[in-house]
Amino acid sequence: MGIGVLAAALAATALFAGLREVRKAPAPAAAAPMEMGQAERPALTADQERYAHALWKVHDQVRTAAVRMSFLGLSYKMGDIKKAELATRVEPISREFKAAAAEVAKLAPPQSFEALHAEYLSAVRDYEQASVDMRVTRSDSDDHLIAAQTLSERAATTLLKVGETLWPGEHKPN
Amino acid sequence: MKKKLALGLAAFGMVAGLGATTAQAQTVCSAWLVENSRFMGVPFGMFHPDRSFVQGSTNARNNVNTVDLPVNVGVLKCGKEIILYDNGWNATDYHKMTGTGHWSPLSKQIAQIGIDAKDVTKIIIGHGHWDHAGSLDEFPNAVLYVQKEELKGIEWALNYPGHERIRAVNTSPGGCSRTPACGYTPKTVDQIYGKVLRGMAVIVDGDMEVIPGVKIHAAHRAHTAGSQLLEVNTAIGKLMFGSDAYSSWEAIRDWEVANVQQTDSVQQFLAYEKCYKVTGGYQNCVAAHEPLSYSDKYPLTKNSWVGINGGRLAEITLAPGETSRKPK
Repeated sequence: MGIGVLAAALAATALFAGLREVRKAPAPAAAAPMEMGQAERPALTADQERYAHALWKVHDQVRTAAVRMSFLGLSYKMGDIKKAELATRVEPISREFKAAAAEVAKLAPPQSFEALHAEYLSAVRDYEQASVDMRVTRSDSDDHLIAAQTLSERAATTLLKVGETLWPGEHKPN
Repeated sequence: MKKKLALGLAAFGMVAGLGATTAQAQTVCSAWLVENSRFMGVPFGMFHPDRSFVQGSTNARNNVNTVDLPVNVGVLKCGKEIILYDNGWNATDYHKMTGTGHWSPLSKQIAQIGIDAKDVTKIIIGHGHWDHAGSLDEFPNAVLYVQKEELKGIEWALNYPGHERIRAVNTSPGGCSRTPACGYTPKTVDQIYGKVLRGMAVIVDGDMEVIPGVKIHAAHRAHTAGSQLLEVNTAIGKLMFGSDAYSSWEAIRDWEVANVQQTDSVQQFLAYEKCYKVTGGYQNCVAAHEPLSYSDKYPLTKNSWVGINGGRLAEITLAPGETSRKPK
């Protein structure tokens, strides 16, 4: 590593440390290790952090419900449960998604997060729709499950995207 | 004896019991290692407890504060079969900032060794965590091999009736910490489910010979509930890929635990022993996150080069008649 690069890195570190010292807002979400030469993510404002904190409570429930829903589909495909039982067991998950969507809709995001808020709400509604699609029992084919899985995968992608902004470091090396 | 259990599903099979002994000649495979990304600046002790940093220590085992951990994916060409062992994770521009570096889509990375993603026939995941099973959508024609026990283990955790932390897929901002359902993101689980739903998965129950010369060894609880190893026949002898049961090659060498998640340390040591037994030592054990990867200090991976976005690749061994993919 050249001296110039080292000096720049030290200066950036000092600047970053200084900014952290003067910052009065609540502590940011867990900082992830930074790659040398990579731009530091700007800290969230106090309003943004309040929103992130409020949404986290819903997010935690949505993630768990989403994984449980996928596993019910797996249980059906593995022959552990029949289609009727799948419908019965997904039903409370539908209600969870519906309640989560209502909770998200009640949140007032800062202007800078309005688009992100809309994306998240849309993802939860996708999950809710996917759960409804999964409960179809009249069909002999699994086409409705494939349609549901396509929706839920789109929702899962949005969750990752929003999470990256609001809760950096949400996913640790496993 | 290999038993196919129909389960009323033609779309996928659950295979139980030990792999069949076969009269067929064992395929000789070519093998490469691809660095899908790198986790930067991870505290060494968080990954490898016996190597925890001690301030002021002059002991070489304890004077390294942080390490950069590659996310290694095995790429095998065994006759006409193109097999991936693990498949990294699928990042995007926004996801590159979470303390990772050198990420590229795995499909682009394997193109550097002349392999088209559409030609990948099989993906064997060592376990289902997001950073090892997160690119399934890039390989639409590949059949997924996952242990039944892995799926059952996650399901058990999700439905645990007691404390909520046991069933949590996340517990606090900053992520979950090694709890039973930790590491299985909705997207990754959904993609595994998608493969099963579309008849593109084999749920493996125990050991299984995938093709002659390529064999899955169950290593339950060696990292996660349904971890599985992959024995591969090559011109330099047997290789044993271990995903996160073999997170650290140094730990296999020194008989120490590493990357403890949903791990039973006894089972991790038994997984290490499997490599010693099958390959004759520790040199041919292929680790998923070994910091020394792509260097002389991890000899199996030293024939390496740097590819797109700084991600590294290693040509481990070539089958007879196979040409090198390493740039001149």
